[in-house]
Amino acid sequence: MAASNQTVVVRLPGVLVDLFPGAPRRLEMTAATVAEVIDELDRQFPGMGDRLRDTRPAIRKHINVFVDGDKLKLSAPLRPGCEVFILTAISGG
Amino acid sequence: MSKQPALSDEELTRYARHIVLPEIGGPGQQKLKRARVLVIGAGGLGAPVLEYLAAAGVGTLGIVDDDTVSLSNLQRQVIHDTQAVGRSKGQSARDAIARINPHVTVELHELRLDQDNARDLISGYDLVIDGSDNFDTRYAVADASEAENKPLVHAAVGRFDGSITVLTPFKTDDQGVQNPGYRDLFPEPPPPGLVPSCAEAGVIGALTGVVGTLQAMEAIKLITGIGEPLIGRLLLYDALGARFDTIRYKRSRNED
Repeated sequence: MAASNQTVVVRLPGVLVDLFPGAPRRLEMTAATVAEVIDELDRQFPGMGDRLRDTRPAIRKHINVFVDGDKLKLSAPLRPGCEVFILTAISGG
Repeated sequence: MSKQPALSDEELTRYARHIVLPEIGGPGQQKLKRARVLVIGAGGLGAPVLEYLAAAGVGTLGIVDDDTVSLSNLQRQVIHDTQAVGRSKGQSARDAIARINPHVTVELHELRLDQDNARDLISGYDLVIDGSDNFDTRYAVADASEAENKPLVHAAVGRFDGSITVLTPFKTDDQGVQNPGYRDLFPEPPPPGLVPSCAEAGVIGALTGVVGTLQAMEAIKLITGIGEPLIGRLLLYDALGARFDTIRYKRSRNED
């Protein structure tokens, strides 16, 4: 549940999207914090939240959430219209 | 005797399209000739890296690979051909490089890089390029490059996605802030099994060409000292969406 009506753009990594049929690489949603982004992703794609957030709760250590060059924690506020990049490491060569 | 390696008439003609560029010129071409670059993996990324750096006249290319060429490598590992199936990848790549540019010296390291041998291998080179295919090697390369103060051009691919960045965590930026390293970007590898390998998930061949060629470009920039290397920036390529995005990142070690 978003605490405000601000819209943000969320970009998801390919390896995550591959696990959730129908999930897009880019979606818009209403969210005021990183935690709200993950809540909304989990609502739309059940189980995605567990892939991104552990039980502490915190963002999993192999996952990064970047906005405007900053690595954000769950509680970080988001500015309206920002682009939220969720990244995971890949290893293929 | 000058410290700058002399370029022969044949080399001046071979590299004429470089030398005519003011950013490269004769001095830049001499820097390329003098450079010693270590390439980890002669696979999908390593193939274009080795081909372009050999063609560009990098004087010494070290190759670390303990694998042999298999038929299923050939849709992307374009430095190897059908005749090379079953041969050592290092030897196959060395022969291909000799055909591209006989002025290049190849140093073969037919072994698996790990935490025990990484620093010894890397210490003998000016620059490291990671085209390996697993997290253990990637963390070993990144840690050893940082410990040996060697710039690392890191890239990885999977399915239709690629990423590339340049790591110089032993240096500071213009404001005196320490540059980020691989562990600032990804503090630890994903749990085993979470991120599938290329063998499991597949990889489109041309993607390794795009991303490996970007690695070669970053290496040439670092060697010649031109342009803005991807330091503190991660370039993401989504081939299906035909999107390039660049994400800035900072040193964040020991932060949760």
